[in-house]
Amino acid sequence: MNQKINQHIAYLMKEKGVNLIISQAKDSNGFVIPHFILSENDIISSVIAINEMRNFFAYLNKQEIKSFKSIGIVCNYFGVKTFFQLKFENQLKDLELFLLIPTDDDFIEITSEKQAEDYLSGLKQSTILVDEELENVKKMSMEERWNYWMKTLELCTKCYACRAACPMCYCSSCTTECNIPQWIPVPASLHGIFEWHVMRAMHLAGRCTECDECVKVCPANIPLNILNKGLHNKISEAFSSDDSSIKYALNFFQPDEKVDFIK
Amino acid sequence: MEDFEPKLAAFVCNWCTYAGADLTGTSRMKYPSNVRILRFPCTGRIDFMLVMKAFDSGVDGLIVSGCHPNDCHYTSGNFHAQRRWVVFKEVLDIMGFDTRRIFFTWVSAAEGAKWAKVVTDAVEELKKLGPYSEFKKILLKKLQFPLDNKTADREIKTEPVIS
Ligand code: SF4
Ligand code: SF4
Ligand code: FES
Repeated sequence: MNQKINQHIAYLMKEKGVNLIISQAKDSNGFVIPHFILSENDIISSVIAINEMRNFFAYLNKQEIKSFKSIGIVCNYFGVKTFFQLKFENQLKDLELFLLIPTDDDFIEITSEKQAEDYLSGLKQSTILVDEELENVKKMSMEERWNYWMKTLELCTKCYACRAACPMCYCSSCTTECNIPQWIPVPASLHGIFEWHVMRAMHLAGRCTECDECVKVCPANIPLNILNKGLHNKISEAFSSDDSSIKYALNFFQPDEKVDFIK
Repeated sequence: MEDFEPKLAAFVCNWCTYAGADLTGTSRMKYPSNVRILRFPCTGRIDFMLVMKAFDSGVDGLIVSGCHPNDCHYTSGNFHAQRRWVVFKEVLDIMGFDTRRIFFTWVSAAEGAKWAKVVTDAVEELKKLGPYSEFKKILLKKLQFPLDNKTADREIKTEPVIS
């Protein structure tokens, strides 16, 4: 990371008792990978554009990482969004977190929800590309849509990398591993794949931060962001009567809600 | 599709629709016998995965029914269910699943006649739609070995653009 961040990391480790920094670096192929800094000797300088940065909050849900207690994490806009949502879901209890967001030749430090909120309110994320893809899918007829997904999903190997990389997928035991009853059929045949994707989308409805980490790690290039975005749009359109009802989405309701397809 | 008899399942809540369906029977109203009724404690208990499992086991359509809003025995189960179904229906719609085959309705314990109508209408609609062969196709499709060496030809554009 840049000079200023590295100096600050050194300061945090020396003065603030931070014992782990999850930074980012590029491997020899140019992929952005996590870089764990356990002591000042591990600090390296690397150049990663803010838009190329990834969201490594999934690590913070792991017990072995949590045990470091005082952790710094280098992230961008989506990291802050994830921080906010995880805090909201009580997942970052007992952790002292320092979010470091690189800017051109400086950085921003965020440690509280209040700061995160201020930071987020000043920025807007672009959704042009995914909106377009979603639009294309929605334009299709039902049969076309089914065939499109079946053709796309056929390549999914059910490796569950999308689950492993997702910062919001933190349950220690997942429905996919439950075999009494067997909710998701084990083989990576269309049937199991279809149900896995329905379930993944449902369990993240209203919680997904749209960081696209799942899409980036998918070896089969499944456009999971179309599903994520579709649900995001639906939730804000159907339940937008007030802010908290979007935040809670599926565990909140308004008594006067009317749904037209329930007769 | 003259002699096609659709298989229809119904997920109903114990306190309203189940009692309503009972009333239909005791008042000797006739309705199609295609329906298999499964009793749930509350619509709040009807997990979306159970809906998937119904289609897995080969139904052509499904009725989901419970107490009217504000009448839920557990106060708010149906309000939660209502939200869940809005989202669930959207997932299925985006994926091209035939959501015309899922009939969401509220039937109270006094609406025996409504229950008969719901079932009759559902069966009529399903007779029009025919068996759900699209879905049954993927149920029967087993993994083929060796796997074809297909690779994704799509390039995924993710969108971290922020301004
Ligand atoms: S969508 Fe991609 S990452 Fe997720 S299980 Fe399928 S192949 Fe793996
Ligand atoms: S975009 Fe993907 S990885 Fe990120 S929160 Fe949503 S589902 Fe999880
Ligand atoms: S008890 Fe009937 S919907 Fe809750």
